[in-house]
Amino acid sequence: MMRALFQTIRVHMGLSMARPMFQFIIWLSPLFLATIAIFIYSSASPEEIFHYVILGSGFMALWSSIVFSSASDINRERFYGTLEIIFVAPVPFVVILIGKIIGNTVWGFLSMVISFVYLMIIFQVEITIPNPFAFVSAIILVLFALIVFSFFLSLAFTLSRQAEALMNFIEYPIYLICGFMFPVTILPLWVQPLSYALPPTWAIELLRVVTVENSTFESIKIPLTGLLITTMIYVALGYSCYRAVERKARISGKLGVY
Amino acid sequence: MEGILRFARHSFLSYKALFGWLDPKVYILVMVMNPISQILFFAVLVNYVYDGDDLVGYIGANALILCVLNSVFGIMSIITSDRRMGTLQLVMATPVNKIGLFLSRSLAHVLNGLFTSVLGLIFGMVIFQITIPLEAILPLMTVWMVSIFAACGLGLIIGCFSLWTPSMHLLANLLASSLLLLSGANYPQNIMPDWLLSFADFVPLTKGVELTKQLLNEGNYSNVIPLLSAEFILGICYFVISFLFLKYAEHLSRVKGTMDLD
Amino acid sequence: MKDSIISVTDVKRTYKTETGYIKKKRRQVDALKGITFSVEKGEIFGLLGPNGAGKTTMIKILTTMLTPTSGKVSILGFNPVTEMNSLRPHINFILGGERNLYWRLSAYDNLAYFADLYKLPRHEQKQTIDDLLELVGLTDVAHQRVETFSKGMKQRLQIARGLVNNPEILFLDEPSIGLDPVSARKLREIIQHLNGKGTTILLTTHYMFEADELCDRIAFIDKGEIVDIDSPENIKQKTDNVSIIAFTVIGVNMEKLNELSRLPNVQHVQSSKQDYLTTIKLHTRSPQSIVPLIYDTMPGFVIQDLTITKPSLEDVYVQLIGGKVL
Ligand SMILES: Nc1ncnc2c1ncn2[C@@H]1O[C@H](COP(=O)(O)OP(=O)(O)O)[C@@H](O)[C@H]1O
Ligand SMILES: [Mg+2]
Repeated sequence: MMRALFQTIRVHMGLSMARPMFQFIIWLSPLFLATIAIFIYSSASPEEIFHYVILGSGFMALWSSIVFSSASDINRERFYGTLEIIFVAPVPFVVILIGKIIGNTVWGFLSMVISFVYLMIIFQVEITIPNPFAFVSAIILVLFALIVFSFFLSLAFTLSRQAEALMNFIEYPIYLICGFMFPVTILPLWVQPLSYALPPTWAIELLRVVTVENSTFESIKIPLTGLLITTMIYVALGYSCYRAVERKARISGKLGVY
Repeated sequence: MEGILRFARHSFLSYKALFGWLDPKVYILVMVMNPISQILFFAVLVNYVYDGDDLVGYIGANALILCVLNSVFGIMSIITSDRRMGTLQLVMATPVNKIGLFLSRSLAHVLNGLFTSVLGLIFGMVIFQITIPLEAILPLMTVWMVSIFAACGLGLIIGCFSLWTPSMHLLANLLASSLLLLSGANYPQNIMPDWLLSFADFVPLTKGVELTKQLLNEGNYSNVIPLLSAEFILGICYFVISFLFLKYAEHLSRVKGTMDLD
Repeated sequence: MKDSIISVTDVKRTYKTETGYIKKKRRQVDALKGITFSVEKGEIFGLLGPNGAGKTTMIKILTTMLTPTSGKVSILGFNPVTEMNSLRPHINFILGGERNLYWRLSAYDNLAYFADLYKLPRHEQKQTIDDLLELVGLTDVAHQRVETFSKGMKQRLQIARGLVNNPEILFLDEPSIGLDPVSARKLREIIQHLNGKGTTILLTTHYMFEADELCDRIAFIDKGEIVDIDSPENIKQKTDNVSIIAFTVIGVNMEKLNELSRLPNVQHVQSSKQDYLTTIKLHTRSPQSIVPLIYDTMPGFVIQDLTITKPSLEDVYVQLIGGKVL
């Protein structure tokens, strides 16, 4: 099983990178976003720059390559009619799907690092991380949460045709609702419940609080709990979506065509 | 008169045949929801960062930028789609004047781009409860029209590249992102480093964005004539370059036989 | 030659291809190696040859889409290389297959679009388009999108598209490729109808019977060279006293085939295998004496369906080009 997973990750990473559009998402898109963000925040305080430019554009890079790409990967398989083939392959579908998402995550992480390095070198932005251990732990947790979330989204997109159309313009709304480049609190009150129902909101908030100088457990507690709870919810949702997709594939044999 | 009618019908039929987003549901998703979510994101962002300063100008500038859907992605389709359908070679072998042909095909996208931008502007005005002075409307539309024309010219050059490279998604997104960055729609242009600024001078929409900000924020009309003329000349240059590319592609196909227009 | 409206003299075309970026490999393909023929006004002229013979290359040269490497071409008195703008309004061409139409537009709009491109005066357009749709039998579906059409309908719309400018010469490159027999018949009827109205037609095909049925004259072309030009009747005449002995056997090998070809008076042997049955054709001038020899040569084989016939155009083709059976 582990072998199959690693094999999938390896193959998928190669396949993804062969697509020019994915190359754009990984190598170039973060540079554009980071540049635009730093220009917009050019006269802001170092802390704001760190929170909204560095973490914000880094997080956008993560989002595009993990969640967005994973969802469209599944969609592409369906478009080419290869989804059913994967479904009946000897390796369980779930392994293949998770393998694909992890593959994208590795690239996405690289993309985020590129964005950090770019801002540090070109724009002389200082990145100081007071508590590296907490930061690394938070990153790992965040990556896990995003993997869970994209697992859910990929399957949800497989289930409905409307969702598929939605996927094509989900990027900016998510940037907006999850507050990648500004605090969620500036959004209208009625939007905020939606924001807090989405793991990326908590994830970026967690990264922000762990990088504040002398952050305490008190300050970390809320986003940490939020992230854990939402992630659990999406684990459950992801599981039931998986069951539903499986049923749809087995019983009606209708994944490729609606 | 006959010529004009022909030009107009060609423009319309090409749009329908090659862009194919006339289906209302798809049009709303791709050409309305998509740009609206983009302008909303940037408007919220700049409103927060600049504390509401010059918001009207930023919303106007972001609305103008939305035209890339047509002036990059749409205009590309007049070459990529035509080739994919196997009709480009037929069209190129007709006696029609190719420059007029591609201009009429571009016209639909200039108009559609203008429509998308206006839609974005109205949406921004409603959401942020801002108004623009009545007398600014006509100059603003003129500025946008010329700016979008120029952007379409650059888009057409990129579209020509599709005859050489299969990586069109990459090129189109690269161009769209560059326009967003270089036009300065979301920050004062002088924030950009000098080398980037001088580069931005040769990129369409930069002057359009600047004029939009001046018109809406300051009510300053004095730069319209010089900047707009420059933008127009830029657009003409882009179109001329793209026609040279098309001529070269035709030469490769006809004489060298190394380019397949099919 | 006085009424020839297409004249092609010693036309050659080579393609130079380069592959690889770092280590460039140059390759030269001589697609046409000196072609000469002429077509008279009102003729249906066929270019017949196997894949890769150079048919499409020839059509592209004649329709101004490609320039010859050397040689002279004159169409309606124009040089397609230098006078393409004068020539283009008078000719049109149709390519086989389902593409080359705007699938998102209706049949009518497709024709209107090309009518504009051929600068047809607008007041004539409606009548012309209605007539064309009538001719190809698409009047009822004139306002449906092409993507809903069957292959045959798309192909007929292609024909109508090729006629929007009422061309004096119509070029067709493998027009019936991929069509079902009924659609193919309909297509041949349309071509004959057009020709009856005075349109000169030059078509390429690799279906023998199509060329036989339609063409006034046929040029056999193989590996970029013309092997023979004549009317179908004359071509068949050339092999007038040749007969074809055809029969099927089970499980025959190369050795036996060679043995058959060494029989006296056998000019040519073809064989084609289908499942385990092999159909063998012998070209000979004295069938009566050969038949017993066949039985002698193949003892123990069950020989079925033995017939003696006059050669079809296809048999001539095989003899001329000497290639595999199609
Ligand atoms: N654009 C091209 N570049 C290189 N070789 C070509 C090109 N087009 C055709 N050829 C070659 O020229 C020969 C003739 O091709 P073509 O005219 O298409 O033959 P036909 O239509 O009879 O099948 C073939 O060997 C083909 O491979
Ligand atoms: Mg061919």
